[in-house]
Amino acid sequence: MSCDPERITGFVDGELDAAPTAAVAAHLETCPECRAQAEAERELGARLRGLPAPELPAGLEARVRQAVRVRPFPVRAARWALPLAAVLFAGLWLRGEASFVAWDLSRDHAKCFSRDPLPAKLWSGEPRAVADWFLQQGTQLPAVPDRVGELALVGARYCPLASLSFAPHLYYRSEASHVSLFVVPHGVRLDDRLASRARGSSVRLLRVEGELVGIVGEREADVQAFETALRPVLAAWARSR
Amino acid sequence: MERDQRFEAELLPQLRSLFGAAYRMTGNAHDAEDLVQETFLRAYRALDRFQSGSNARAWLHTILQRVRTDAFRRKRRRPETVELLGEGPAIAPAQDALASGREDLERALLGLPETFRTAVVLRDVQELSYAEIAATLGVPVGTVMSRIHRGRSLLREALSRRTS
Repeated sequence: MSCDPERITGFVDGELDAAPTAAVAAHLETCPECRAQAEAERELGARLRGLPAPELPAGLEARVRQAVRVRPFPVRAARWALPLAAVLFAGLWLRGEASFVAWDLSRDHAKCFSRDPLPAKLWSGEPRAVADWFLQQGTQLPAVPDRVGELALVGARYCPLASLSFAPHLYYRSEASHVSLFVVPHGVRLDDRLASRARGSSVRLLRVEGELVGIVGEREADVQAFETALRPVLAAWARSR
Repeated sequence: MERDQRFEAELLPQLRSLFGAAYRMTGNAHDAEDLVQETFLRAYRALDRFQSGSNARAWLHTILQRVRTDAFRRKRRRPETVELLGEGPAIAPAQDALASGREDLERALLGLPETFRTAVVLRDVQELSYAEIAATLGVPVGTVMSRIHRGRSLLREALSRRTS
């Protein structure tokens, strides 16, 4: 074998397999340089092992014990609590975010009108009857129209929203299209009006003196017509509350 | 609590040895103490993953290396702290140590590049096997041998420069 300084290191440490150990041992017999390296490494190793262990700082053991005793709870709790808190925080933040609410309403609109029959809890084209029904459940509605253009009121229900709340949802239908009217129950960060498109629908969020109403329809013209029709109604409603 | 009992029985007895290694790696008692405290804290949290009867010291060293890596990352983002190296060891050497060249050896060890110092300390101070060091550092055994070899060569050079 030729000189292989790294192998000499492995040999000195007793870390080589049997065959290389024998080969290095034989090589050392004939190579004074490698023998010197092995000697020097053994001597160095002995000096390093001979270094006295530094004194343990006073109280370190107690501090280590203290640290692990004090903090086991957060270890386990953090694994669940932190992600959970993040989700809750995101949920709370999102429910106040107007564009998220717009998305949420359009999602519910598409879901309800994809069903046949509609998942209405109350079937009625009479605004008075619909308002009374909601009042019995504890929600006051504005004086909604029975029809806007071709679109006629057909029924209503409370819809669960992704933002962890229930919104009164009124269904309007014509031969050609559908419009949803929502009364959004919780605090949404919106000063006046949001017009957007979400999931292929036109969405309008209208803030009138503190009250928030959502209009969703497949056709922008329908949504626009509802906005125009509702503006004065909403203003009167908000003032009465 | 069972976790506390295991911690006391299996890990805490390694405190002195681990502090010794941390001290040799960092060169001062303050950093060594921080390193060791964080290591034991993480070890306590991860105790479920430690198999009783396996080498506690090697396992603790694996954690210690991770703590060091994290600390290096943080350090890169903030200004350099002053090393005590130039002011002598944090623990005053005994007079006979100076005579025996122990201080030279300690300084030479601290003067080694990080990678080689760690390998040499794990082998020659902590007396871990190559396989244990490989697992601790997450490198192949061949790399461990190479690093120890290089570390010792550099140490010998540094020591011979000091004596000449």
